[in-house]
This record gives sequence, structure tokens and C-alpha cells, in this order.
Amino acid sequence: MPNQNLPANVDELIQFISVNSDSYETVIKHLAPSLKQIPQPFYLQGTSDNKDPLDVLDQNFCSLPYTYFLAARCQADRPNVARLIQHILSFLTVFDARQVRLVPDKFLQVAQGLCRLTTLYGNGVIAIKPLANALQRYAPTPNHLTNLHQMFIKECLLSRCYKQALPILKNDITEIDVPSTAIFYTDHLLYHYYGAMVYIGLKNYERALYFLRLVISAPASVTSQIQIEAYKKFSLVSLLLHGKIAHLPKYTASVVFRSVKNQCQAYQDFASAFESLNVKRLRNEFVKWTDIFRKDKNLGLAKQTLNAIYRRNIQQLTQTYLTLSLADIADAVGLEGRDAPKIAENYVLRMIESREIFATISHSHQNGMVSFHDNPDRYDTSLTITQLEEQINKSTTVSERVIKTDRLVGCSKEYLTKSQHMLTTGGAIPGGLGPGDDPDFLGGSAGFEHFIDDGKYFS
Amino acid sequence: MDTIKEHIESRDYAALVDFCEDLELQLALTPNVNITPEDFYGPFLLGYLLEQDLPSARFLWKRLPDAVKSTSKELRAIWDVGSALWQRDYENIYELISSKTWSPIITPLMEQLADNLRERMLNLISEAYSSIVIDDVVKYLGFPREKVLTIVEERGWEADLTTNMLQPKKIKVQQSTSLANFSQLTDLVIHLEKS
Repeated sequence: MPNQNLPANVDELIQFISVNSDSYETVIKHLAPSLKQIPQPFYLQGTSDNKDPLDVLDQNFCSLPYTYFLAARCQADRPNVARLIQHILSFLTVFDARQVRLVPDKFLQVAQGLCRLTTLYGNGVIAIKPLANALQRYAPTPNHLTNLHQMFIKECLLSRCYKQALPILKNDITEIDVPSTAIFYTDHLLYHYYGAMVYIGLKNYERALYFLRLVISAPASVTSQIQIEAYKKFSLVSLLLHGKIAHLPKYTASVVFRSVKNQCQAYQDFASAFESLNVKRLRNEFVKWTDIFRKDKNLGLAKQTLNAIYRRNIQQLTQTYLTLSLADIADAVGLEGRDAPKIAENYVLRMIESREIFATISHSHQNGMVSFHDNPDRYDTSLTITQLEEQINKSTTVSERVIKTDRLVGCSKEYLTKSQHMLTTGGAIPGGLGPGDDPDFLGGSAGFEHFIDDGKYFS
Repeated sequence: MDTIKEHIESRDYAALVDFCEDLELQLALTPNVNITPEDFYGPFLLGYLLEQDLPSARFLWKRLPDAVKSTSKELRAIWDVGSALWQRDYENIYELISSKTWSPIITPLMEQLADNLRERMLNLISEAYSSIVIDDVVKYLGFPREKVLTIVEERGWEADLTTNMLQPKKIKVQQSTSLANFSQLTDLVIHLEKS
């Protein structure tokens, strides 16, 4: 739209908005391009009869222009905090997601504005639930990553509302749609890094490890500091869960492999001390690296491993012995002092409760004996069936996704260009459904190259 | 406040926590002078404890406004119980609970918390011990010896007063195979046949 047709003042702008907000088509065609060109100060003004456009415009029908007005006001120097918060909160409950998705960066400004304002107002907690609800409506599907995701999780961490992040975090991200959600590469990294921090806080270490693995194995041509920090947490969480640093996926970028080796010395030394299952050695390493752990804000996690090593040791004992006295257990796992058998008993009791080991303690002999058992679960309960069912359902969904993605990649321009190129230069085509495995598919097999070279069929 | 009381009476602690999470947001936005911090944060915190969601209780404590934390002695006392649970310092919990007079809204929640903990301990002991010193059970349950002996007798544990020992009885888990299992199984087979 040429410049001279733009509204000259706020009254005209509001008129223009109400004329063009009839349907989604007119919004896209007329409203969206014009709003982009209107100078920012317009969005800060009131009408000639002293009304606030925020009161005049309908929050649902005019979601697109409303986002512009809110975004501008969030960035203003001295906003009317209480009033603006009210406007944003009611907007977040009624906005039209299709319109808002046209301006992801403005919507992000509104969300960030809300967080800033509520902090000014004295309590960041206010922003959490409205943002969670808004995010659920704003994302095209629960599996889409949007530009709001990482800031929302970060806000949850800052205001210590960890549990409130779970409704968002429980959906695995499988959809990355850059044009409609305006995300950057770091959005993906930060979202999963912050998400892992939430899960660590709530002691769901399995899921935390999964999130950290996603961060570290993200495709990269240079290593991000986020990946390095993720690796540090990854190594400690691995120790808690598995007693050693878990393997990174094969597709982890080689630069990342190299950087974590060079930059996470403390964590690797600490991990090998843990793997030796030698309590003294672990404590020495802990003292040696305490400052680094504190600086990296991983001290809490590192401290937990000091506890976990006893549990790991007890678990090892169950592999070798059938019965053992509490005093022997204390001795074998490196507990010291007069109370050691009692402490060992507490560890054993705790591990029985969390079903890490299966054992019975008997005090009928002096000092107490522990007999270790095999897992009594025969896997013949209805619980097993339910779990099995869940896993099968999950696998089916995943396999459907894989087929869908594979087809998409197979049809994409990039893939076809590359395979064409490979075909003419005679190389093998990497990946994809057909090539390599399927001789009937274009290219890939030696027979087909021969076929082209021969030339006579096409002459 | 009435809703909080209703949830406490019906012992629906999940709903209590949900309700309080929303109320926390509302109160942050528009403070209500009729609701004192004890009335609201106390049941909220205990709701998390009763739901055994210790991390969330801990984060609630951490995000409480400092003004509330410093003025309310009762809230601090509730959190002392929470942090004893966090540290699995079970022996002290009963002492912490019984040594204070709680406000009327808190009392039933505290009683429930102690009951739940005792039930959990009894189950754990019967799973983990083939024999245990009576005094240890007294500690784990926070009841006087006589009362402990009656409780365990009801459960069929054998007491030997000469050696001061108890022999807990294992709890048998009932297993049931219902028709629903078969229907799940057939669905599964159909699915596999299809693909």
C-alpha cells in the first residue's frame, strides 16, 4: 500500500482498522501491511476526544492492531503499570491466535512487557498462568516451538513457579516452523536448557537428561555456550541416574564433542572419580572443583552426587552378596564413624522405599542383617500391561511422525536438488527413504549410473 | 476462603492445591485484606506436602514474599515440618507437629499429614523388615509404646517382648485380571495385524 493512503492520525487509524477487520482475508491483505508502516509514536497516542485506543478497539476482532498498540506501550518509558497489566491480561484471554501469529515479534514484546510490568508491580507470579494459557492458544499445535517458549520457561524459573511450566514442557517439540513463529536457533537451545532446569528442580532427572541431550546434540557448525553449560549439567545428572556420564548420540556435532572435552575438565574428572566408586576420591575431587561448581551454579547437583555414590555402592553390593550385615555394608560403601551402620540402614531403607533395591532387614541377630532379593515383580500385573500399552501407543505415534517427516524431506526442494546433483556427479545420496537401500529409487545404485553412462536409451 | 475449607473437609488436596495456585495469582494482582497470609499460604503449603509434592512446596516457600515470611510464625513452623520431610528426618516430624498449637484451619491438615506419614511408615516397615526393634517403630510412628503395640497387633505383626522385637507381616498385593485387560489385548493384536 502506498504511503499517502496511510491514516494521518489516530482517529483515522482506528477508522481504518474497523473498516478492515471484517474478515481474516482483509486483515492479511490490507491491515497487516499498513500497520507495519505506521510510525511507532502513533501507537502511543490517544484519540482526539481523549479516548484510549486500548478501550476503543475490540480485543478479539482487532487482535492484530491491538498487539501493535500493546507492544508500543510496553516499551514506553513511563507506562501506567496497573492499567496496562489489566489490558494485557484480558487481551491474553481473548486474542485471535490467527491474527496474532502474523506479528510474532510484536506478540513477544507484549509477553515480555507483561513480565517486566508485573515485576515492577512487585510480583512476577502474576504473569505465569496467563502466559501459559496464552502460549497454549498461540502455538499452532502443542508440538510447535514458538518464540515465546523460552522466555516463558525462564520466567517460571525466575519467579520459582516450576510446577506451572509442566503443562507446556510435557509436550515434546517436533515442529519447527520458522516463518510463522519467528524463532531463532537459540530459542530451541534455551527452551530445552531452561526446561531441563525445571525438571532438575522438580527432581525429574530422566526428563531433564533428555532435554539436555537435545541441547547438546543440536546440529551446529560452532559450539554454543548454552551447549557447554548443558553438558555440565548433563554430566552431573547422568551420574545421579546412571553412575557414569551417559553417551552422547552419534549425530552430535563434532565441534561440540571437541569443545566439551576441552572446556569441561572439572566435570570429567569428577565423573571418573564417581565411576571409581571410591568415596574418598570423589570427596577430594569435589573439594578441588567446588569453586567451579559454585560459579557454574551446579553446586547443588554436585552435592547430590556425594549422596548418590553411597546408593550406587549399595546397589553394587546387591550384585555380589545375598546377605550382609549393616556394619559390613557401611564398611564396604565407605561410610565412617560410630553411627555408620545406622546411616547404612537409613540408606537401605530409603532405597527399598524407592524400589532401587529389593531387600529385607532383620534385627533378630545382633547389629542387623540385610538380605538382598531379586526384583519380585513378575511383570504379570495389569500395571505392566498399562505401561506396555502406553509405550506401544508412543511408538506408533513416533513411527507415524517419522514417515511423515521422511516424505516431507523427500519432496523438499533442497533434497531433490541435492539428489539431482549427486546423480550427475555419480555420488551416493545420503539419507532419505529410497536411495541406498532401494535400487528402484532414482540414483544410489551402481546399476543406474551405468544405465546413464550407457546413453543409448536417451539418444 | 470457603472453597479452601470445603476442599479441606472433603480431603481433596489436589483440588485444594489447584485452587490455591489460582488464588495466589489473583491475590498478587488485587490484594484482599480479608485474607490473611496464614489463612491462604498455610493450607497451600500443606496441600503440597499432603500431595507429596515436596519440590513444589519448597519453591512456594522460596517465592513467598519476605514480608509474609517474617511476620508469620505459623508459616515458618509449617515449613519446618516441610523441611524435615525434605530431609527425611521422620523421627522429628511428629514432635514438630505435636509440640505446637495450630490454628483451626491448619489442625486437620496437620493431623492428616501425620496419619499419612504413619501409614507410609507402617507399609515401608512391613516391606523392608523381617524383624525390627520395638523402639525403632516407636520412633518411626511417633506414638507411645503401648499405642504402637496395639496398632501393630491389629495388623497381625508378632511381638516378642522378651527380646523387644517385632516381626512385621508382609502385605500381599492383590492382583486382578479384569475383562478390560483382555479388551486392551485384543485392541493391541488388531493394531499389530493392521500394520
